[in-house]
Amino acid sequence: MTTPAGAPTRLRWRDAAAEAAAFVVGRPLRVTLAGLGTALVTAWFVAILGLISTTGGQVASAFTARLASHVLLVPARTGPVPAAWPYPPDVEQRLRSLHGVRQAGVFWPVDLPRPAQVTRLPVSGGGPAAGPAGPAAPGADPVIAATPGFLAAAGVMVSQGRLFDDWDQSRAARVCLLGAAAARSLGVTVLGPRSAVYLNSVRCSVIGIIGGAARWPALLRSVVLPTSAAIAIFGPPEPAAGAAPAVLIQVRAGAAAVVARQAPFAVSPQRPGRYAVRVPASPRRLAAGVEGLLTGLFRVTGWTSLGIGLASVLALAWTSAVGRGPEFGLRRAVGARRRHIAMHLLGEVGLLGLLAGLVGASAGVAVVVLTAWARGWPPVIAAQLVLPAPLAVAATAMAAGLVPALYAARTPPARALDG
Amino acid sequence: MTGPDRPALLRLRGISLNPPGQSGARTGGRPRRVRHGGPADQAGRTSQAGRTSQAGRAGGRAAGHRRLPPARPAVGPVDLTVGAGELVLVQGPSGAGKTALLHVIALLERPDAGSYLLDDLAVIGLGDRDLAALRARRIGVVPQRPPLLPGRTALDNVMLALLYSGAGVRQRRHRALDALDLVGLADQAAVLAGGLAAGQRRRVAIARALAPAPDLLVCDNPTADLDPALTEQVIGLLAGLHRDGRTVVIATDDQLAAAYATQRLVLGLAGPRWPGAGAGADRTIPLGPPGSLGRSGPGEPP
Repeated sequence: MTTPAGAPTRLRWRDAAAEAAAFVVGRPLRVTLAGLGTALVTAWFVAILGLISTTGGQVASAFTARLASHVLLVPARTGPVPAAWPYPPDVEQRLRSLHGVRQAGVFWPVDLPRPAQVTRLPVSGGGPAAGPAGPAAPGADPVIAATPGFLAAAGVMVSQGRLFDDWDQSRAARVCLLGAAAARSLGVTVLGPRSAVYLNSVRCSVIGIIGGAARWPALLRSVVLPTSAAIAIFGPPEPAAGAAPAVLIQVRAGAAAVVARQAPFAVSPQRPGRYAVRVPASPRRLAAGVEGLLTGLFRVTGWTSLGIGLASVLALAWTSAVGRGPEFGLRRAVGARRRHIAMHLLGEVGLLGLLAGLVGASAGVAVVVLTAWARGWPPVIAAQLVLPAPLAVAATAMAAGLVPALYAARTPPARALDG
Repeated sequence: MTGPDRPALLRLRGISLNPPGQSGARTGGRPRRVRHGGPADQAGRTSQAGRTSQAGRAGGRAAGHRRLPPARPAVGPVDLTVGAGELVLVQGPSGAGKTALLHVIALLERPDAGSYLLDDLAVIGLGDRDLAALRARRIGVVPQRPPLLPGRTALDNVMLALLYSGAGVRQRRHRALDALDLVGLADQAAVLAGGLAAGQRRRVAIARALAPAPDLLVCDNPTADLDPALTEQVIGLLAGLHRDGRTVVIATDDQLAAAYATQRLVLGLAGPRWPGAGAGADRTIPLGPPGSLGRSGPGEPP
């Protein structure tokens, strides 16, 4: 569009960008000072968000390891006294078919006839036990009847010998396992072919010593024998005496709640109410609480830093506008229109914001990575948050620079001659 | 010299620029504070009632700034006609309005009264877009203390004058180098402006004003702060430009320049009230053909 005065002057975006770059290169100190605050706040913001996700992931995995890994199925206390064997014979198979169940096994505490005695040597005539190891206090070591499935569900590991298995179970073999603590107190240190304990004078061969039971640590103080043998020797369990058989169900991480709801139906679809399920206290709520606290804390600091960042961006925008009246006047004197001055300043502020954002985001990522590295954690940073950060800072800076740009655009050309 | 064979480039009739207030004090370019909305300012506004000119708006806004730009220099009604190829001297005591007149001629300030024809185009009513186009192509300005971008090279500073012309970078560089060559600074093109000596800065500013090949070159006291040798150098440069056919308006009291002038405008100090000052305070002294006083001028004692 040509007017009597000739074609209008113009400022190409390329030239505006080049001018902005020349400003940044030509005044490194001023640019550094102006961009420092913005870069720091960007770094702070990115680091905070990165640390939130990194520690959040860490907290989650720490608590996942402590999630309930087993549930306990017991006969309901309500109603009539349950039968001695309140489960269908294939209860373990039924439970194992549930999704989320790894292992399941029945067990009950054997109620030895009084006076209950667990000794290393046969007790003669009801007199005090004798033997090199000396008798443990009578009844001190509870005797537990368990199926091989229970051993698996409890995560029993032997330190010596072996576990009893289905073969022992089917033959009602008079074998038993000693918990490490029980073995110590009974004086059983080394297993041999003749190692045995006497349960009220009934001899049971010790075939293994339990070194650990991840999901039922109480086994370390117990004598464990197959349920078939327990029934053969001491009779069926006596629910009336508080020794009702229970089923220990090992579940996959996080499946405890679901399995707890489904297990009674799996065992007895007709009468699920006959059973109760006990789930160990889950740390899930605690985990969520801790994570929420962390996130909230970081979020507050994050938003605070955003506020400070806005202020620093405003300062950055104004820094490039004030004190340059003569320059803008000169530009107008050589043909720049008001909008060119505004474009020019916006370009500068945008470039400054971009650089500060780049430096800041890089520093923030470095902080997160170094922190995670120092803690041995995997760093977790949302790429969709970090990558656009410099652009977001640039856009914010340009928005903040709008008013300074309009201010600068009003510079009268005669300002060039102020000298 | 205006004549039938030499069409007038500039025609100024009754040009006047009011001071911002009616205090009567002529500040001559020094910074001073203006009380926004004070009685003096009100009076000033009343005198400009109805005006929505760019200069008026800029002045009003400027009053809101914390550190004010220097008060607008003022000048009484002035008539001036400049033909193409002339070298015009604007002279007068300090505060007579030389700078103000140059501001008006260079389209940096809009006069409060009068008419201004540039090549028969009435420029006073033009808007920002047209004024910017005229500033970019038709008129080159060399301010009294030429502002250079200190962090940029001499070449960059000259290229700045072409930045808004729409020309490509290569062409801008080429023309800027030509302009630097014209003022004898081609070898200093890559030197940062902050490292240039006073005379070199002035010449860079002249090169910048020349780079767009303007019809008119306006120089405000180009020999200020320069020692005699540099003064001679700069005046010689301007005279040479004039000899090459360029139109030059110089505000200077330097006697050396008078030798080359084709026309001399002497501004007198007006009375205490600017609006009342008549055109009689100013006189235009046409001189002979260019160089007619050249032999006797420079050697004469003032």
